[in-house]
Amino acid sequence: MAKIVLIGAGSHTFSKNLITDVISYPELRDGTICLMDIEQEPLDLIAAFAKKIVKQNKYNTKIEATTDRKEALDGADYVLTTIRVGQRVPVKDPSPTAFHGIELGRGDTINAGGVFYGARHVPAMLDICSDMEKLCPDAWLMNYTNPMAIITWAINDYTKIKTVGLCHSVQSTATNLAKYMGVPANEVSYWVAGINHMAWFLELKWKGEDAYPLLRKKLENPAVYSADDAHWAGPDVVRAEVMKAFGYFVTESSMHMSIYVPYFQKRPELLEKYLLNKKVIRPSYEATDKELRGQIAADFKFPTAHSGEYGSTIIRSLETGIPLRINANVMNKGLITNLPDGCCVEVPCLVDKQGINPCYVGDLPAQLAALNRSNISVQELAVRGIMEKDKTKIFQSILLDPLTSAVCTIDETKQLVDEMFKAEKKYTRGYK
Amino acid sequence: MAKIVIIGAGSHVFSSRFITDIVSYPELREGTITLMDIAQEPLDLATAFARRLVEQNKFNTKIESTTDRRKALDGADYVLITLKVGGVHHLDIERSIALKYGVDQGDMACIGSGGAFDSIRHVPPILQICHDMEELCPNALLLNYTNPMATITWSVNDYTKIKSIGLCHSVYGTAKTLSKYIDKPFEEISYWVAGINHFAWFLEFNWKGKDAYPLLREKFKDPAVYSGADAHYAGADIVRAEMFKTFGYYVTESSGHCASYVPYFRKRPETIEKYKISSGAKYQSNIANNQARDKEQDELLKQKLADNFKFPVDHSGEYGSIIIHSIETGQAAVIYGNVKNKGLITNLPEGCCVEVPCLVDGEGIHPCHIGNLPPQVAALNINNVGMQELIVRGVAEKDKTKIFHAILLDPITAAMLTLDETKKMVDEMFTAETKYVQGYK
Repeated sequence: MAKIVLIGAGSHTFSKNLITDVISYPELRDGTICLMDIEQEPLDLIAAFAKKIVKQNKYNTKIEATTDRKEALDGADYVLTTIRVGQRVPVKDPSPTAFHGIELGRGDTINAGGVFYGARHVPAMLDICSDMEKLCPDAWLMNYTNPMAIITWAINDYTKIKTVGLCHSVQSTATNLAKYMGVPANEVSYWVAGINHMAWFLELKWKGEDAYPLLRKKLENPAVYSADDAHWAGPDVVRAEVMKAFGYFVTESSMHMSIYVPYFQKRPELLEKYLLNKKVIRPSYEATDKELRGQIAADFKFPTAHSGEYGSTIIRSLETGIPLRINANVMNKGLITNLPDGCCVEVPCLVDKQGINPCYVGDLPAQLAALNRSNISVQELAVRGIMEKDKTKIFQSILLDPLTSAVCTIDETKQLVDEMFKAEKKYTRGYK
Repeated sequence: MAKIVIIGAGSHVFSSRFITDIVSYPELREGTITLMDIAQEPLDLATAFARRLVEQNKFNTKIESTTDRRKALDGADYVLITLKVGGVHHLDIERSIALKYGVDQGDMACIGSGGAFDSIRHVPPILQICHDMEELCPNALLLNYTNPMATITWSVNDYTKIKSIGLCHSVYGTAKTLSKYIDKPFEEISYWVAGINHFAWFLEFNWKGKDAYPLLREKFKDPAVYSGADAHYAGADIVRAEMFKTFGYYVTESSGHCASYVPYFRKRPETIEKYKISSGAKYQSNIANNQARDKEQDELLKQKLADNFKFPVDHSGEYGSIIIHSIETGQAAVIYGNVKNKGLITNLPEGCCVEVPCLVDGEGIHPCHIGNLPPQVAALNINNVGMQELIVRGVAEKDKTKIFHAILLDPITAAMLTLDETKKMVDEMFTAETKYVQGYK
């Protein structure tokens, strides 16, 4: 039976769902789930949870836990990664990465923050791949770590490992659109393609009919998308504006979208206008840890319902051959014909016994392809800069960033990048 | 012998140079040059020049002159186009509206809202010429000098059957400027340039066969070399020097143009000052001067004709006649032209308009394969190509939304305005341009 390895298993919100999902499928219950983290304490907690839920249900699932990555990867069939290296650059007040009142050092997928996030995570991910090449060369790597596009691109170009990058944004946006339209989510279907976090609902249907007219009608009322709880990440003004201007709804959140294009954050007063000032408050790690610890101690009966997350569903289709369509991040080999070959695209994929096979999409509408390309350029230079430890390429990558280039001159961008290199000294050793 | 047609021949500064180039080749002297313009008076002046030149040198070149385009095109082998729809004021409307919104893109030719509306004005008449050609001279080669170069060439390639090439002075002109910067004779310079029109890159720049970039970098340590008002014919060349230092390659055209193609330089009044580039406002105030200059040039030519001035028969170095000469004689030449990207630059979109070196010989024009551009310069080109594509589709389909999308993608407009501000600006331009946007939806 299959050996499923979770690297970074200490992120227990994610791991809990995945473990529950895997054992919710009778076909996967007899396998092994191996939990791996470099930190003992969070690893022990999630291992305790896993053992408890297996025991409560009297399943045969074998639960392993280790801080030794090589031991974990040995003989693995599926490797899921959800890791975080270091911390983001602390935003000081006043921040040295703010220019003309705009904070440009943040971001976990793009902007200077995203590029340096890549500088921290790509080497760690390639280390895992390099272990996999030796210990489980045929295993599938399912990565959830950001920056998704930069990491997936680097794995595709610099390792032999089969990989897909997985993200929640397509499914969760579909659910959101159902809510905006006031129809049940299970009656909505879609065809989505583009790049991670900036993929486009090329088709959006309700009961098999084009639902865009309905969505447009609903979004005529700004209250539908501008309320604090419109989307889990807050008001959704930016994505509504993007749809009205460019014709298609985009995945991920308004906050993310607002830093992928130059239109929304370039002047301080625009944050107010597009309701981008709202902070998302998430429960602290301490609180969720404490809750889980308490539940385990009290022998709380953990629910076994499937969370809807892709990971386990993909493994099940690969194991059983039951066909499944997912949206995943893969190498563009003629899939989206007006995005550069070799870049990382997020497209519908067929999953069955033959593996994970991306579907052909063809040309995106020209205006959407152009927006995607502006981000792909940043990603490409970031990938090359990180792999070659080349400061100039990192600088050029950030020069191409749509928001940064809207705000800064070349000199100012140089200052910003120098600041970032200073703050990220630990992770950019050997860069020239 | 070949029949060469000049459409828009009334721009006599340009057409007289081209006519002189043609008759400077003994092999082309026996053919026919047909001058065509919709305005009789400038046409007559250019015709008088052509006839005088031929007469003075006792050449057998046949000079024809007509305001009837179809008559001119009938049986043509080469058709040269240089036209300007809307006269010297043609970009005024967009410039003044854009400036009001805080978008200062210099002369605005070829890019942004100016490039979009200039395409709206120029693509349809050029396609009309092509459709006439399909009927009257389907095998003729179209040599286009009209801007916006990329959107016109792209449209001709996608919507007509005519063989065409778009020609510009910028590669050759920049090579001359670079030889001046490194203080070496132009004859000792060689280069390999590719990209898109006005925004092509000196991928190789050699002096006596060796990489001359180290020398250029050395010279550029002294900003006086590129920041003087006479550094380049168009003024200070700071923007291109900064681009070279940052992205690693020298770019064609001028600093003023380059600053309009990327978001880094024209974003604030003080940056326009700092990089010594012209504000759009300056182009507005120059119109009276332009008219005066045109009139002066007319008077000068008239006076020369009256004085029976002996016009020299030398070659300007301009590509148009070189191409015709190579095709007619089979003698190989290399020129830079704007053509359809069919696997030429592999990291720019297939089908877009690229500017690449072309081999010309008796078999025609053969664009050279370039491969990938360095990713950072491809990325800069790609942003402009995205805008051009939507202009091409928007003009072909008379689709206001696509024109709006194109302007949203313009790097400077996008750096300055929000979506709704851009919408307002574009709406205002459509309202102001009533004459040329009839039928747009």
